[in-house]
Amino acid sequence: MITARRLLVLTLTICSLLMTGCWDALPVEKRIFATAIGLDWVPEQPHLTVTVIHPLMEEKRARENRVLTFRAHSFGEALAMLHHSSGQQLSLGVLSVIVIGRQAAEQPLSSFVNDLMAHPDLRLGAYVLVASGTAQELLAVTPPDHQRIAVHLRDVLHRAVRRSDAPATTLYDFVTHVMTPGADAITALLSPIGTLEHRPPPGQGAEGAGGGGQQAEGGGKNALPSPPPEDVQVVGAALWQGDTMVGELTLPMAQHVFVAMGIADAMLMKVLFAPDERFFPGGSVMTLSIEGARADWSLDLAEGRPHYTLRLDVRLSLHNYAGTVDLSKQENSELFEKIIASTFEQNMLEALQRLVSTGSDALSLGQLVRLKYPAEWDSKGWRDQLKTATFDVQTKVEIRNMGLQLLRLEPVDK
Amino acid sequence: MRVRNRLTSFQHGVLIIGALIANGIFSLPRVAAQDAGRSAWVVVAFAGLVLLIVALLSNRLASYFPEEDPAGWGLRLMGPIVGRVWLLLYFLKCCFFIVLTMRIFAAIITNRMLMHTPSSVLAGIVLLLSVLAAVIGISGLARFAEISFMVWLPFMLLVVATLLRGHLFHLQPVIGDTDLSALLAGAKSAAFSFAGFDILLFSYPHLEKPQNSARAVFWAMVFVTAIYTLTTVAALAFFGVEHLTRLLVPTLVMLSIAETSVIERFDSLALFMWLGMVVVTSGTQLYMGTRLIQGLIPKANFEKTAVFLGAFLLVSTWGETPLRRLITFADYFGTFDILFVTLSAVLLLPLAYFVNKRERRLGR
Repeated sequence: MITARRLLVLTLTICSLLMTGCWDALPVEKRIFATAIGLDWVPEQPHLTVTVIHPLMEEKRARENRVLTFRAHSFGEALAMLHHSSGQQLSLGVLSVIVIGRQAAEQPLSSFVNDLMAHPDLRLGAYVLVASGTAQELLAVTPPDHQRIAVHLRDVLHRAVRRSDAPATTLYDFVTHVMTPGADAITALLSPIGTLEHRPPPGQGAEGAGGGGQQAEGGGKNALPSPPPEDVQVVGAALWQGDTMVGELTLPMAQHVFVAMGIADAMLMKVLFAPDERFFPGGSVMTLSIEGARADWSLDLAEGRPHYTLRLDVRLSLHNYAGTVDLSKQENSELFEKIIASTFEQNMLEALQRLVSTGSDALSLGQLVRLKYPAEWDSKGWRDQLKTATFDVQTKVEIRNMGLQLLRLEPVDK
Repeated sequence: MRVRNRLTSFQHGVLIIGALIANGIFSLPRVAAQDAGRSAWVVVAFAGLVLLIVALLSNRLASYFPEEDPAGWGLRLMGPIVGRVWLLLYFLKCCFFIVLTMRIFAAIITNRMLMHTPSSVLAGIVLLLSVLAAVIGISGLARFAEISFMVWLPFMLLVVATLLRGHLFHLQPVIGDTDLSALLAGAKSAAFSFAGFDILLFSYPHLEKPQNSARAVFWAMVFVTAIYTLTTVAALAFFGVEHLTRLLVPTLVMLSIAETSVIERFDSLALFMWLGMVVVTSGTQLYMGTRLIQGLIPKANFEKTAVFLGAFLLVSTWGETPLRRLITFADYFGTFDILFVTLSAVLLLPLAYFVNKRERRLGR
């Protein structure tokens, strides 16, 4: 009897526990499940333009309603306007991407981040990226059939991660880097192509403004047809200083920075080499597959000026070596490794100087100062001190795989 | 069928773990980092080791009275007046502990999951389940703790898994950028999360093999210290000290980042499953409170007293209190709790030794 009574109480308790959701019950049609949020800045008041992608509308393929846009003084105000105008409650639990327009990224974004993080239902794993134009343009791109733009953007970033073109910076990672002195965020820089007028001029290809697009030309008659254009592409990396974007890197430069960060495993790099009749008779652009990169940083501080030494240990494979030199011979491969190492060093120095000239510490170099010279560490003055930094890069390259054939496959005696 | 009121060593250990781990783990990394900075995990480990010693001393104290819990030996050890004051203070501590545990849990849920549900309803549910668990007795509590422990453990592994995504520089230097007084303040703050291990004083008389008690206490405390330390390391490496100190419940935020293709939001599931651990904590305190009333009023019936105490505490579930204020209050209360338990163990142990020796000499 006692057991039965206890069971009854227990059942009632569990039922009441499950029913507590009734207070918070909200029909699905009363909710907006945002999958992407865009943020743009305009010079006129109110400065912010907030774009919200609404997947339920998206399923109806009602293009004019798919993108909801609000002009407001703050992100919080835009959310309130959304709530009042639609009578729906915004859920950010399935948020895929946060797209920040270039001009908006160049403004301090603390208040936006604060308003966003105050939302009780927020997916912290959402990716943060910067649009080279406006977020509205990027989010208005028509994705491939049967895809949603937010999921598509996330897919683009995933592909970029696999190719190591760009780090997929999540919201929590972004916020941590925004807040930590001596460490800044680096996010992917994306541009719409294909369906809008932002398609890059012929010859630059999907790799953007860097040297990557020149391979097709350099390859001469062996050039492959250019791949079908993607509607959104990664064109480089946005550099942040605290909550403000202070510069950008082209994709080849960004790739070198990722090598310096030691996060470039399985990355494909197109590298432009100095002309060499022996090794590069047909063209001086080669695709290298980075199989492992170990970056060892050391620091010396002389009269308040940091000098960094980067020792790189790179293991790579050749993807499209088109020369006639027999690389299976040790003296040839050693010489070739030295050429690659030397090119790497030059490119790396250029990328690092470009990086620090913006005042962005995407490599967390300030943390080295804090750890090695705690007495000299000045978190507030670091951004100016960083600009005076000098670098020395020492690279050791090991070619792991030269391909199945030693020489070029071409018609013989005919 | 009556429940067999005997505990195995494993149940004893799990009961201590269940009594220790409740809401504190959600805010522990922040609380420790606010004082100790990057050395937060060191002070958490240090606090755990110090309280391990206190727990072993408490176990030794309990071993002098293998047939009784503090409700029985309190008056015998300290006399009728001091003993009653001590029992009353102990009882009040248990009541505050229950109120804070259920209120903080309810506030966390209404902050993150069920924003329109009155927190009094959730606090009331925790209290009701705690009464149910406590009424069954110590073995019922122990079995409930076993189930809750098994359900909860995988979620904690998710927290530790986030360590892989962190940056090691956030943890360096291990000690060096914080002075000793800040480290000690951090250890004191971290110690609050270890409150509740005094259940061993009450479970000791119910052990099948009392000689194994010290080992169970040792492993339970080491386990909890390891979980707390790893959680703090993961939170520090993941957020960095600047971000961490601005998060009210960083452990829950870490859980919210864990995603799989099947379950997108682990934090909601974890929070729901966490109810079991919270009920074990408040249930053990309710059990102790009820036993202490029995110590003050020997004729009081256990079950009726537990239900009455639960009904009395139901009043405290009324109203909404902001989570931040509750956590601030919990910090003050934690100082009292740890001080009370530590001083009791340290001061009563020699007293128990002499009383025990005298009673043995008198042939009692």
